[in-house]
Amino acid sequence: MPNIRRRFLLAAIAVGLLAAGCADPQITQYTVERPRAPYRLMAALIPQPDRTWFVRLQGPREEIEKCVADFDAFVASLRFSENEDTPIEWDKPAAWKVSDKREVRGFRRHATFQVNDEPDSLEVVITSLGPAGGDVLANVNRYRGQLGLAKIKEHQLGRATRKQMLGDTEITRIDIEGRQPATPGGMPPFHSTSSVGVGPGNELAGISRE
Amino acid sequence: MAEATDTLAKDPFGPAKDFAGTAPRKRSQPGPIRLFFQALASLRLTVVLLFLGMMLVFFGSLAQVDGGIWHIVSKYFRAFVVWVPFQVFNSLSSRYTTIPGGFPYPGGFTIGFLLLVNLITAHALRFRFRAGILLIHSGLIVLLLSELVTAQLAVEATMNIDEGNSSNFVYDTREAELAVISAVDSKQDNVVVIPEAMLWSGNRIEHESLPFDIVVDDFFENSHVVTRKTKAGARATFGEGLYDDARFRPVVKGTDPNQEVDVPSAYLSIRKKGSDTRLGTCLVSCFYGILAHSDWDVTPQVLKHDGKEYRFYLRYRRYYKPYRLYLHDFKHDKYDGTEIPKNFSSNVQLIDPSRGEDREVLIWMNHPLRYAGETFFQASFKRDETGTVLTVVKNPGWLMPYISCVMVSLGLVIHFSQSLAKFLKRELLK
Repeated sequence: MPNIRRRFLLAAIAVGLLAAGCADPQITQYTVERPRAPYRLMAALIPQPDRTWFVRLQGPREEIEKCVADFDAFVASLRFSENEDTPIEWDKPAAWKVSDKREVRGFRRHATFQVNDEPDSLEVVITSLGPAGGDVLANVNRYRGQLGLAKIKEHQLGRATRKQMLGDTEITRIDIEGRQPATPGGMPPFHSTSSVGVGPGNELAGISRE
Repeated sequence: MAEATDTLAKDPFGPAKDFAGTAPRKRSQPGPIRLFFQALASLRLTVVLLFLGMMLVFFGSLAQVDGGIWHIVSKYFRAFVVWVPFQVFNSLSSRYTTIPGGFPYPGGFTIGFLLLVNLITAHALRFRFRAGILLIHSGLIVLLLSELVTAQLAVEATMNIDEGNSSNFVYDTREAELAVISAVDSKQDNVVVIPEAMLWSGNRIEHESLPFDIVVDDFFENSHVVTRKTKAGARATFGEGLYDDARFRPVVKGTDPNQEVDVPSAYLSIRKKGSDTRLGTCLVSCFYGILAHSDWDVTPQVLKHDGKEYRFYLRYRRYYKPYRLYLHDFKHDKYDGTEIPKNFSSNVQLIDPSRGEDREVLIWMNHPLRYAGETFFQASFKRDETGTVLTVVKNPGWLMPYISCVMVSLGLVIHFSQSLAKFLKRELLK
């Protein structure tokens, strides 16, 4: 058989082997960096007889991680009284500076602290709402909406919250990671928040729970 | 004086032989191997295969009316054998009728492979060396091989990136995978990935990298997830399956005007290795990934086993990259005074330590990024315009059909030129 024809036959056999070797499905294993969100929000939700207190700190995740210990200590130091002039007292960490911000975008703040001297320092904010504003799920979903996350259900609260005793009061600590909000702060519960979705032309856009 | 004789003159090659009455010498019969290759090279086989191919295209076209396009491509054309249900012929009728049964039929891979072997062996055994014919048939071989390369290696996937964040993987919504994830340390996870091809109902998955066995109780290629009224009676014993049910839904049709994607779900029974002792049952679904919109917020189904936590995700198949794209800014420009989109663009930072790349790139409509054999197209964006959606296409065989066309065209020109030259020469000689 001429040489070129022998090569063609060998090519035919090679193709046959190639087709026969088309891969069977395989289980694979690898190591990846755990996906982390760039932004973090920590908060404490403290119910009192006449109102619900909120203590909140939010910012880039790496910056928040430097403040966790001080924030925990600050929350643990909170004391409440019926005195209308000083309904809440605290032990401020030494590095924190009291800010004179009392109102931001129409929402009243009871106190604001800056955690350091930097111009873009993170802020710890104390606010309060009437008793109706103390629903844990509603507030968690409000914060999640601000961070570009989908709402969760009651049974999923454990992903974002833990309980803690503050004296005789059980408070809720909230810890959420997500995207940097376009408008930090957002709206209180019972106000509508726009849900984050995928844009037109995206094949996942119309899929939702039934 | 020499004596006259009636014998023939002495022939230096020996006496002449008389062949009268001698039977012609028989040609030797070809052996079985040669017969086999002759059959492989026969023109009759070519005709039969081309007819089978035509019918396969016909059956696949009918099946796409009710089945998803990629589902049918995978099942009919990128398979060795296909089961063609008689139901597909109902598409030819205006009235819906249930037609049971079906028949097996050679799939695209079988027909293509046999055509390829037929062509190559025909050249080895039958064809004389003619440049034009050789080039034409080589072009056809390249075309057939290009489909094999595309089927095996091409990936068309999507990359979602939020502003101020980065991504190093793409996902393909045409295929799902089960990921079993456990923490290595505070920053890294160990991921064991089981492909969709192994997630068929009733299959038991055992692997050395898993500390337990997984039995697929039910797998739905497409499904919808509904909220349960109570936990009582739930199929699952842990995770979201206590509060949700997954229900079968037909795969997205090829004629669906919305062209949504399939949302696979599965009920998994986690068992002790080599035993039927159940550790738990959970519901996994691609729906949870769609709901989350962000990779870090997908609801896992968590099982604690031997003091370690394992998270189960059913997700669209992922391909991790050695590089990362960081999204600085997504812009959605509109025509002044209107809501009519004018342009979408993504300003990204391409970071690839393996190649020393760290540069800013603008991806916008009709101006994709081409990098590392992949092409990144601006496809869509997140509704609140805080993130971009890129289509990422990789096809090592993209050039092969073009090469094939050039080869076949050139071969035709050469062959017909040669035929024309011979014809003209004959006519001139007359």
